[in-house]
Amino acid sequence: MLAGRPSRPSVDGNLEQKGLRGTRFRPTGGAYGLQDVLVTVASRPVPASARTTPRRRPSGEPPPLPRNLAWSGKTWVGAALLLLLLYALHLTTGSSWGAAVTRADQAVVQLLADGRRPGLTSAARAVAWVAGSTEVQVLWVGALLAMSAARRWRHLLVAVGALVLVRVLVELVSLQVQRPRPYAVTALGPWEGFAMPSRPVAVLTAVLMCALYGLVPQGRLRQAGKALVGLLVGAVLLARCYLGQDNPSDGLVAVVIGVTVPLVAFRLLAPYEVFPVQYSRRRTAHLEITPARHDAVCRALRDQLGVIADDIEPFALAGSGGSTPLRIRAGGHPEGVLFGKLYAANHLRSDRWYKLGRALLYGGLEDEKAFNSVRRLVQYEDYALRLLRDAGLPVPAPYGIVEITPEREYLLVTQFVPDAVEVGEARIDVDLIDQGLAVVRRLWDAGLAHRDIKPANLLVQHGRLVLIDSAFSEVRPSPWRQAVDLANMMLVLALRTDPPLVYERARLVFTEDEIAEAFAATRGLTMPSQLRRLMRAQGRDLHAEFKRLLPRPVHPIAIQHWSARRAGLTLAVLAAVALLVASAPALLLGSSL
Amino acid sequence: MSRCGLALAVTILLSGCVQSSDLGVDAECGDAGQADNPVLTLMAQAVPSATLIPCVRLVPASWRHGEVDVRRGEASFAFASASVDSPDAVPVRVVLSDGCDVTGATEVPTDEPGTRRWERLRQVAPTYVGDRFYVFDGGCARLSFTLSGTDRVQAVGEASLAIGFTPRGVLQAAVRERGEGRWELDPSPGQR
Repeated sequence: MLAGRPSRPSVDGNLEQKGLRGTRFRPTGGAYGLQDVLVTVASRPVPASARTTPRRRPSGEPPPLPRNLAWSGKTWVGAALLLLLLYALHLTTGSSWGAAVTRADQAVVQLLADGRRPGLTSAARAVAWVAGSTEVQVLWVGALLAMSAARRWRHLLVAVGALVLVRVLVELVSLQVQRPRPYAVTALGPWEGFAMPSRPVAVLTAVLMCALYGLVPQGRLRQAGKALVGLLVGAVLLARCYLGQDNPSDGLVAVVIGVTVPLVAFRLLAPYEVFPVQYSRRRTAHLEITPARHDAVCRALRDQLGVIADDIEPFALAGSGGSTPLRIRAGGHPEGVLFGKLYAANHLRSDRWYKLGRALLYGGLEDEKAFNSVRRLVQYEDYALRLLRDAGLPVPAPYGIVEITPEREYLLVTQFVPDAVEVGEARIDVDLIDQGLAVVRRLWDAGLAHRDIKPANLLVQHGRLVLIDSAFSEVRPSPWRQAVDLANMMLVLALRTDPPLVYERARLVFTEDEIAEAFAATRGLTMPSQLRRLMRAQGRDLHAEFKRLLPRPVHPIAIQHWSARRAGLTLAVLAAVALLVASAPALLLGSSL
Repeated sequence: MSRCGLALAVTILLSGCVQSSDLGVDAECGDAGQADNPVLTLMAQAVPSATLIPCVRLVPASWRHGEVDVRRGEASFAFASASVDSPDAVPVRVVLSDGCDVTGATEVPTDEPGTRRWERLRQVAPTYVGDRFYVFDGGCARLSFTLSGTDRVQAVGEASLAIGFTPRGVLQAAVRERGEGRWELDPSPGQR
């Protein structure tokens, strides 16, 4: 307990002068008077002109932005199912359509063989060369390298998985059908194994499809690419029939497999809406607000929250790496502006990697578990925001969650904080320092930790501090985690002032032991990267400056905690890396083809 | 393990599974005069000049069916060891091609009608290593032995019982029958 607590900062009481609406809080514990400098952000209801009655989506009605195989994907899946059905019918009823297909194949192959000419044969060999094993390998490795260079890892994984699946399907179908090569013609090119489905055609088609969906942006370019792939595969198929290597139906079945598997894999596992292929310098965490997504968000806001949105636009993208921040305009006047954070599967993946990294770096201290779905992630942030608000912290009012695509894409809607700047760009006075310290005190009293105290998450609006981004907040955090919040807040506040001033103000709210604990707990990676970057840019070691102000030296709190989980995770990651490195050559060069 | 990790592991495992060129079926001869095994038809297509197609008549007790690989110009099948001590061993591999180099081999009386037989012994102990050639019109079947164990010489003899030949004409007749007289295995003479 501190003795001789000074009087409240002079700015306390100027709220009305600043024209802010809000609720003043009384000290909760009675011990630290600075808590009542906190003012909640006044909740501004959406204007009536921008509101409507929410509408429940009836069963069976598609969500605002449904998962989309598109008509072409459905057509290819339909073709694959039709082939499967025909084959099943052939097996079960002994129908003669199999013989009819072979007769038709024979007629075509015979016709082509009868028309063989030296020039045509040379041309056919040149075209069929494209589907040669070495040539397709070169194409495949090139495509994978290009995806790696573009850091398109998800596309790369989907491509590898799709190609392996194509290869497995080809083998299975081949084993099941056991079809010989074309009868009564001399094969003029190499072949291997049973004829149906044509392995070179299936692999070539799949490789081209993977390259198309992993490297070519959606739109005209991809459409042109599809046409090109169609022409090339068609030419190869014709050439192989001419050379007596394949029957036409062998190639057609191969094309169905080679197109359907990558197409479905990419559209379901790396959908363009979430993982767009583009070559601008846009951060991958940010989803593009395409016209379809724009309309879907507007529709979802109207149906689920009863908010009639006029416009949606990306907002302050530079400060957000974990979601796509949006400014939502509703009703056409300032009160109608809302803030949205769009979350999708890629953000969930980022969250998982982030938490895995922290578990490997720190061990059991963090006590973090990754979310298992986007829905859970967004629900948690909304819940944490409501907790912070209920605890009297100055946070934007939560409006709820909107579902865009079930289990894939959600929008967290909160109050927009207009005319606000990051604390790193604002003038920091004693009042603001006191507000920052009071925020941490309130978090401590409420049994919460924000866990991401950095300039980008502390806004200053008309001299008042607003805490944003509750994504990492923790209920009943470890004492270490709470101490880190305090140190990070003091470091942020000292960025544009002096450590002695911040320290003196902190002593009004925290004991010297608590402050010492904070700086003993905080160092290096426990500080947000933005904070570390700003300190480096200033060339100041604020952490050391604070430690010098402490009455006695502090011993760093060990942040390396080993547990069975951490040891297991570390071993698993090392094993996965070793396995990947060991299998990379086979994966890239040989086995997939 | 996360779903992503699991997918990666499955992918890598699956990628290893598809490396083999094994057709996954056996080159069994079938009943006398019957040729309903598509592998034999495919082997005949691989070596269009071969008048006899080697096949598996029966599998000796200590062996099992091995890899079958058919490509234009050559077809092969193998026996694998049934012993748990040497599961990767390939005691006999049979390769059909349009000709064989029998240099250094000794011609011996054949046990297969329509063929001439050569033997080339490379090593007897501790492992029996040698080749046997059956040469016939338009083709040759080479049997490569790599046999170990005390009964290895006996196993060489058993190979004669294990390997049989299906005449190309039987396969042609089978194709013709399947196509109701409209299909032919081989191109008509003179066709390019």
